[in-house]
Amino acid sequence: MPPRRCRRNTFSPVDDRPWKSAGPWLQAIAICVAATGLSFLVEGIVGASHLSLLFLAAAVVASAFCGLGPGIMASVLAVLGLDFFFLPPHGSFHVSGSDFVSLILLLAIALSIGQLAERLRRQAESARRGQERAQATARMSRDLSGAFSVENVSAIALAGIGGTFGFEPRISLDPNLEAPRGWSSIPLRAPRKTRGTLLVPSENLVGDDREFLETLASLTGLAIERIHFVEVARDALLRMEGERLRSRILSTLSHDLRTPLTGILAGVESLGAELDVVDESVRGKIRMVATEVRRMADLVGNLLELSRLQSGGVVLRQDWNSVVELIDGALRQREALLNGREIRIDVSEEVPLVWCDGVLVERVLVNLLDNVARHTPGESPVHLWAEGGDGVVRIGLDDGGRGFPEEGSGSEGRSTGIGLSLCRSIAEVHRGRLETGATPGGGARAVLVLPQDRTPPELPEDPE
Amino acid sequence: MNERLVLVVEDDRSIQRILRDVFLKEGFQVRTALTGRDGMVEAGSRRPDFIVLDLGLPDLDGKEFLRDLRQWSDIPVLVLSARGAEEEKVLALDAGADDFLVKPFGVPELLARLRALLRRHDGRGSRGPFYRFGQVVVDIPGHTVHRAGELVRLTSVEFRLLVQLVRSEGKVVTQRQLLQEVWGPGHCDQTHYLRIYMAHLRKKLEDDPTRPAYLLTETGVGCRCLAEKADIPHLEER
Repeated sequence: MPPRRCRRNTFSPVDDRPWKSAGPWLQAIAICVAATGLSFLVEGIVGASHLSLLFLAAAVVASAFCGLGPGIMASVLAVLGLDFFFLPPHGSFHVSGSDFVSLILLLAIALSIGQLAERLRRQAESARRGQERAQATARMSRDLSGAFSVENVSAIALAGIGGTFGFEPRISLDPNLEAPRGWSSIPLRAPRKTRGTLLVPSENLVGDDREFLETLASLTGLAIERIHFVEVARDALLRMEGERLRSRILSTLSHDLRTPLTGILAGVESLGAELDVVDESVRGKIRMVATEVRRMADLVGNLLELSRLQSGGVVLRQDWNSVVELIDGALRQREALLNGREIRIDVSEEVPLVWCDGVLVERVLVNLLDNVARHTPGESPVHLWAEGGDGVVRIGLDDGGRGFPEEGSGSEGRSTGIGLSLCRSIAEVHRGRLETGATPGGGARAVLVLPQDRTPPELPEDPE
Repeated sequence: MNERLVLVVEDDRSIQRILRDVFLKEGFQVRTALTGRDGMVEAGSRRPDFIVLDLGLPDLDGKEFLRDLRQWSDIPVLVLSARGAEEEKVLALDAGADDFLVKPFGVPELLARLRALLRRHDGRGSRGPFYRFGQVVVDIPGHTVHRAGELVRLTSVEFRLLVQLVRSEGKVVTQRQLLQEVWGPGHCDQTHYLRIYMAHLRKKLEDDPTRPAYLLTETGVGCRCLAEKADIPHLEER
């Protein structure tokens, strides 16, 4: 619906700037001339003294309809006309004492009535303008409430403001826009912040126009802010939906990938039991298949976990964890793999509890243990340690092997890939890091550094 | 022990078949169900001695199954779930599952869990006053704990925590359950209590507190104590 155009000049018989149009002045002169002519016609019928009423009427009519300036002029003209043509001595501005008083009275009455008429007209004009602005505001806010995009809002605002004022404003979404020469800027203020700038030609601003424009500008700002928040809410909803979908896909994938592995493992193991195999080589092969299936399952688990972490939006299940318990948990998961190795654990009681996702941190340790088992000789020892201080807790694993392979150096470099990538991702989501290096003895050292930025609350009293 | 009935609720046919063969070979009777609803019907009509429940059923959430089941039965339930789904395990345990096994699992592991659960279930109802693990004897009515014949001094919270753990006889007790039972309903998220008191108990009762043999923590799930009921307290004459 195109906004109704209403130039206020078309409603007003008198402009605020009467000197711009000669019409009212000519009208006022015409009225005075007409009064003079009429006076000549009726001079014979009524007395000259009564003609003053006719001139008074002319001055009042001119004051009432032609505006203040022409009204004053008409009053003066009427007084002069009456004096010149009809008061003795005729054809002269000379005047006797009593006539002078009536002329002055006539002028005073005409001017007062002109003033009153002007005041009334101004009041009517301001009431009409107020109503017009109220209507314009209501119309614009109604149109804006249906707007669905920022472009839509600015189109409605431009049409509404332009229609009301009769000039072409501009809207920018830059709140700090400098107004070019000849333009005034009005901020699009909204409750949260300024959403843009309205530019209007400076010469068109008079009186309280600026305040009215500020009202319309904040209406526009409000509409832009509403759309902004609608978009924020929609984005959040989309992101939530996306996360839900992603986690459903990952959990389905996890189930679907593990199910066949479960079948294979249980099948192979029950096969071994059923055959009561005596042949050691067959039993060895069955054991090997079982081991490989478990490795495959770990690989699948690492891959899924890695893609979950890297897709962002991961919710960590953080609570207080004890490093000793995490190390023990990881060692129990890899008991069979580390069979026969000397395992040393150095975790002093001073090492604080760690605020972390225990399952993920345990996974880091399991992956590091896997790495050790794969890349060091079967009898080489494993040393797990932890230390706290400087706002971090460091959990380390040293082995007696040959150190970490260089990045991308053949098959060994690849085989550590997923496990270590997952370890790094887990460290990162905890705002920590994984450091890899060498032990003084030349073995590999991996250290998980976790930030320690909170301390557990006090324990309640506990009598013995 | 024979002629016991196992119900396997698992939606994957090949795993179901393998589990059936394994259980048959061990001398159990086996019923199977592919969906949670069929499983409920089977459980209600056949009254199995043991249920193996996959948590990834297509039609019914494992938790719903357990909640329904627990309204009328205390049949031991072993849930199968994926590693990494610790939250799911905790929910299942809180809903009444007795133990969990991570997929893929080995057959010996499965049978060991099953036997432990049946043994515990057989002794249920007669909650013992005495429990034992390793060299430790816990005398619940006497409020005493002995290790290798010597009295161990425990604080009242340590003792309450130990009692909760030994009474479950090897079953995992979730962090939530432990915090609620020992410290009260307002302390369910104070996980550091548990970490600190488990460390105290290990220090006082385990040979090597860094590599505990009995007081174990299942990260992200809860704790368990590999304790058994003891008929006669192995105490020195006082």
